[in-house]
Amino acid sequence: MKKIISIVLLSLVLTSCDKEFLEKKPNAALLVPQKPVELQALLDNDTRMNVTPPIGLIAADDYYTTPAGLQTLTLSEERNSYLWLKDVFENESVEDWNNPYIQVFYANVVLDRLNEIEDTGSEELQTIRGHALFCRAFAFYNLTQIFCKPYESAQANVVPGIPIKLSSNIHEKYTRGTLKLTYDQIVSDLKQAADLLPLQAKLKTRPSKAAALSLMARVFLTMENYEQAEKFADDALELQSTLIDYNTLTTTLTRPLPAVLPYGNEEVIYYAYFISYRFLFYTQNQTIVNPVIYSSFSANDLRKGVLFNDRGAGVVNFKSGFTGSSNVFSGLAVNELYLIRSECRARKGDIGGSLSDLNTLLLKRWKKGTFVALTAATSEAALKLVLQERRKELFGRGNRWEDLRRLNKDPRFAITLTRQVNSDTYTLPPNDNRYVFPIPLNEIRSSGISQNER
Amino acid sequence: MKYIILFIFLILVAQQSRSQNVITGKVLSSKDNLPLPGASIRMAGMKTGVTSSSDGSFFLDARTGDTLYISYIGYKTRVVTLSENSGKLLTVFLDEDDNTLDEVVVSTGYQSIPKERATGSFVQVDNSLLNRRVSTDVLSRLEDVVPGLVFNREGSSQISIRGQSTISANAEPLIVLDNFPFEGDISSINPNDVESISVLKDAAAASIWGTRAGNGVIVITTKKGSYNRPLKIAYNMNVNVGARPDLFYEPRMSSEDYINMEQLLFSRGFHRAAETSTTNAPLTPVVELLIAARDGVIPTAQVESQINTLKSQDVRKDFSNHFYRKSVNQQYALNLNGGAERQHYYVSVGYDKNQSSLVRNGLERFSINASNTYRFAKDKLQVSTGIQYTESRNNNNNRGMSSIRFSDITGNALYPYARLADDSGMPLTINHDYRSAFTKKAVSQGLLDWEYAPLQELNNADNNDRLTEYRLNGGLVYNVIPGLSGEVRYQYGRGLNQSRELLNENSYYTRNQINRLTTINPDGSFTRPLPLGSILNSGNEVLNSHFLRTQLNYNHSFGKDHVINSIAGWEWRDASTHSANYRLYGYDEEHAQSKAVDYITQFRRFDAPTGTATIPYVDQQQELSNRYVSYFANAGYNYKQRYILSVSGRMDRSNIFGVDANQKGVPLWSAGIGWIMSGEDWYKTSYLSYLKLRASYGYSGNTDPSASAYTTASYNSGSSALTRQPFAAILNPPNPELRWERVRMFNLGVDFQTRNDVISGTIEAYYKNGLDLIGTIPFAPATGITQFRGNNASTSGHGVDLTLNSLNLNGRIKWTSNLLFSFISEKVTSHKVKSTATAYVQTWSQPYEGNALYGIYSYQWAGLDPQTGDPMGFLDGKPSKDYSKLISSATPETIIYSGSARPQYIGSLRNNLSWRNLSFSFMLNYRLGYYYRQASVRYATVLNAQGGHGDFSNRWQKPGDELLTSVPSLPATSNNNRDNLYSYSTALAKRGDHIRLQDLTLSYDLGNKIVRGISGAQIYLYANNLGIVWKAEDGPLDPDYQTMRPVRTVAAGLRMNF
Repeated sequence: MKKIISIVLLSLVLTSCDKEFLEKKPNAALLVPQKPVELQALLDNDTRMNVTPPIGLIAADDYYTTPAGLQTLTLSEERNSYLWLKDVFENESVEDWNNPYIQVFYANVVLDRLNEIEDTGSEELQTIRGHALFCRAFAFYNLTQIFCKPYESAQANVVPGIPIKLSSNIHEKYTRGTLKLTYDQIVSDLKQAADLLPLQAKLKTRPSKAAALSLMARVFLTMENYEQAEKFADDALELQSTLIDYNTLTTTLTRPLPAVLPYGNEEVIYYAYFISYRFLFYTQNQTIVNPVIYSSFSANDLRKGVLFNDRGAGVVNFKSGFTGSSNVFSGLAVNELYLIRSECRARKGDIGGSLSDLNTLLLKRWKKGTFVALTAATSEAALKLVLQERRKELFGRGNRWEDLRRLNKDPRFAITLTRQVNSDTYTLPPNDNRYVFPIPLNEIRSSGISQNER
Repeated sequence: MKYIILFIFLILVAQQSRSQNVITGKVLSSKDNLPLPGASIRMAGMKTGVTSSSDGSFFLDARTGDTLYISYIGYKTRVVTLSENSGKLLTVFLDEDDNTLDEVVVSTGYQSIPKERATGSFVQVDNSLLNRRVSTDVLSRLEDVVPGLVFNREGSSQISIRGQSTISANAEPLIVLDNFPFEGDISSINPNDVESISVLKDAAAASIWGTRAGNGVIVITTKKGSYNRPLKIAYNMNVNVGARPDLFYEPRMSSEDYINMEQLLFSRGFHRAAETSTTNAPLTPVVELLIAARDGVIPTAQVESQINTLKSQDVRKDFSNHFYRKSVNQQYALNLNGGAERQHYYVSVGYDKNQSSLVRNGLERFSINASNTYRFAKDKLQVSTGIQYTESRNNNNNRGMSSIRFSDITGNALYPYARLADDSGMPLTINHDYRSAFTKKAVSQGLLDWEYAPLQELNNADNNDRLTEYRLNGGLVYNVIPGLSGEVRYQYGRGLNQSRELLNENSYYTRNQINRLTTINPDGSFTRPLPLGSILNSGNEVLNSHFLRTQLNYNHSFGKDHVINSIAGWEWRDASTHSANYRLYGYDEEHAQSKAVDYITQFRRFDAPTGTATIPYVDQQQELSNRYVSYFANAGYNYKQRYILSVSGRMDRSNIFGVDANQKGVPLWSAGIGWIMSGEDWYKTSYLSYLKLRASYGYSGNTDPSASAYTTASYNSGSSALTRQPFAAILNPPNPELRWERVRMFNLGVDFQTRNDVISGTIEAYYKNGLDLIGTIPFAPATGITQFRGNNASTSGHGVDLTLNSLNLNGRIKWTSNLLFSFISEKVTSHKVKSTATAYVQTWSQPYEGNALYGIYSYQWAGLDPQTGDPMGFLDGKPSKDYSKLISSATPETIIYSGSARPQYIGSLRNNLSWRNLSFSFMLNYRLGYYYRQASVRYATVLNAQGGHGDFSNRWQKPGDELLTSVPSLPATSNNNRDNLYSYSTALAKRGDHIRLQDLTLSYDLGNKIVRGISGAQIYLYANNLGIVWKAEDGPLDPDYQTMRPVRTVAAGLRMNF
């Protein structure tokens, strides 16, 4: 009897240890993100946070593909966006929409948690907050370039934007708001980020202050606010302005540019790359560089060999650019800043300033001793030069799609794109509704937000 | 272990012998050693006898040579012939008669209770029924013998009991081995050690298991010895032979169709991309021939004749001959058991050797099981110990036909005209991963051989895993005062699964990995980042479990009319799994040495010079932990042996679901009543000699360890390939409202038996509701997640379980039948958000309010366009070919719901005949009231030159075909929407109803006359998977198996008792 009592007592004693006993994590790899280092780990998930949607690039005119290449594309959205068809996604779920919003969600999880942590003003916490804000803004911006109409200040209060999610609460209701609200949020996130981010990021996959300023310059350029664009390009160049001299590179290599990680590329400000759709996959040799662009490079222009692989018989493939790996670069770099500032200066009539930026850049791109500085008589001539160089220098980075949307509004630069597949011709006139992609059906069905006309 | 064996021998030696002629005796139950008062003891040749007194004792005048018949209701009559050795005190143990409905004892894992005193739904499968089937494992023997227990062909669980009241949480029933939930590999249990299995189906039966009981509970009771019983030895052996699998069962595009398609695509330039690819992508032999013809390398006529030869080849023939064979499973089992006055024991050894139908695969299992129970302190203290040890080795050298692909890089399937061996059986190479021109050139430059011959790979494979599992049990029961006892039980279990795959230097995998990163230096030497030698993959998984239970039992009778059985206790459980996988490169088997490699650097790829790659790093480890603390109580009250009341409750707390204690506990309870109507004085219905009514109501629960109330993230143990930094991915968005799933059940049952046991059976009807079920619903992607897991759903089910046993003939020929019938209807009653039409038609596991949990949904089929053979659906009521719109405009409301994807009416009919020593039994089973989606051709794969379903040959080809076929014509370009419309149309939603002749068994009882010393022997034959007797749909396919069907097996065996 005594034994039984003692056993019962023992069991009662043991039960009092329950709490500790049950605290053990069911899976050691699981964590509830709380500590700064864990929040940083979320933002360092580069395959999520440093990828951008490639669908605009596919629909733009940097590349063309052969009928054989078209047949081998795995996703229907690749084929359909290439041909500018009305139905792009064929009712499938789409990474071009999902992934940027996953980035927004990660950023919001981090920001919500930071709001709970007592702000000691520590640099670590500030950097993480800036990082999250930057990622959120970058994701929003990339979405607007695919799913919203091009920005026109007169219309921005009427045209629908994209859902602006600012909290990690997944049950919070949302609508599309206006395009103005969307851009306002992007700008405000970036302004805060620029104040919080360090001058030097530990890794190129993490944003620095220059990254926030560079993106701001790009955003204002897209908004056709050239004054602000110039200002931010200027600010960013203050912090980072090194250009790689292509004379130091071996053009015959498969990857002439140094891999950004882990070796470093001084010209890169923020590392991002396209989601690797088949169209852009390095084995897809049927994705061929637009011959108009390729032929516009002079023989002494080193970019011809650094960026492109000429296989003969008209097959020219892109060498994936600033990543220095098989991923295709879509991030921020110094060359873009020079081009933004040059364009803004040309537009306000500062021909000298404009050409000085352009020549600074090109000097590093041409064979030593062969480059003759560009000149222009009028600001319009200077603008034309800048835009031409912009198209060449930023090849394959996704800027072309944004530029087409922006520049088509100006009759001087508006163009109609065409595709030829066997006997079928497809065209995309300027300012066509098909410059805006439809919102994927699963989003419309679940949240009821409004669809784009296409 | 050694001690246990030693102990057995001591017991054997200790058998005493005495002799006397005047008899004092005692009648005891062999099961629990309790006295049987009122037993009848009769001497042969005399009409009257004596009855035993309240302590089971009797006095009788008898002499040596006299024969006594000792009988007791519910027990088998025992015949004892008095010999010189019978002794002064004759103790007679009577065995329970399993055929008697009344005396079945069911086990819940906490207590054993006579089924008669139970209010819940228990089904007991006794030893003879378990042994009817021949199998290596235990669980498959439950198929078709427990009403309401279904083996699923589809879905997230292998077994479900009374439907599946969960969506995404664990859907398997809880398996309890003796006292504790089974952790480990269920296939390690030797079925010959199993005495009986109790299946707990309703709340009253199962809710003692709380949050783990929502899917029902299967309690496996192993064999034990008993007190005062001489040594018994049983031996069982059998050989089970299975037919060679039929690889031609699944319809596939013929070689001729496949080649014609390749020629068509080639003419369209489809292969151009692969031909010019920088990755040297492989081309099939036909495409290589077409290129050779195009380039004028081989004359066109010669190419055509070679292609014609290829058209007649079918690789499945080679697979069948060289990769598959008949399976042969051998099983041997020996056990010894018995007991003395204060100790009993059971010891068994088992050995299984299975030759798999896949060449070079097989299983060897060795098991030892021993248990021992002692009584001390005037029988007040009972101590039991036990050990179960299993060691098995599994060879996995052959991964089957589908593992041999055309390209492991793209995953494309092998061309159907490949040959694996020449006529003399020598392995042949196939085109694989790269173009042969490329690999040949590489080898000529000095790289390792780069050919791939699947048969040679099979012969060279060395892949196995070894499972070592043991459980140690200890138990202490102390009878404090009559009726009150306390017990402590503890179990420690450990399972170690070690896997080892040696990819030696001759294996294609290793050669390929080395070659693809090799660089040829300007001086002609090689740089090989991945060193020469073998690759060794190893894995270890260790499972440790501890259970500790303390329990008080109070069983007491007050006067004649009141009986109370109750338990209450506390339980503690900790199960943890540690697993680690690692790989060694440059491995030298002889000296067990490996080489260090550089995992970081991106090396130029030899096979795709524009690409780079790192050396694959596959090392990983995982630590899982599952902890529970539970409190339980159960009480039964029996009045006048005919009124029964039971209540049960349990509270579980665990470490899953995050850290908030409030979320961790859930009280679950049940109550039941029973009434043995035939026990009433006024009950006069003589043809129905036994009638019991019972009802129960209560809750059990279920858990989903992957759900959490907090934002959880998984930390990547390695680091990002790019940044070398640790990173984390979010798994769960926060969900503060998360709750445990509950299952509410109401059960009504009737047990009956007619006079002379001609018909007996059980009818039960039940309602079963799944509440707060965790479900995944599609979510607006702008929230950051595309799917949301939460307590989104509930289900409502009802059903009927019926068991009817009849004794049709009871003369020289005995004929009994057992009919099982279950009806299950389970519907989703609420599901917060509807899924999309696309999700419903494509995945049948999407819950839809008002429909079955697993349903078949389709687009309405409008036939084929008579002009073009294009498939048509309905748009605004009219036939349409606007595929994009047909799919995008479809809503959950407009698609057609055919019905449940799981059978609603399930059952079996077993007939058993015996004549003299011969017994024969066969079983029919049926599954009715359900649908399945038939596979057919999808042109996306066909137009991607990857072949497809055999329906290709039945496709629409010319006007008029639409009357004969519903397979659409070949489109010019592939179109997902067109494929989807057809694949998910009503044209391919088929009725699954069928009746199957499952098995038959024949046995011959050799009795004890054959060999001296053998008290019984039986030889038996068993044939399984005999075929379909009837099905609702035409065509050759088995509705439950679309790709491979189970093969017929025939077994022969021998059982002996000493």
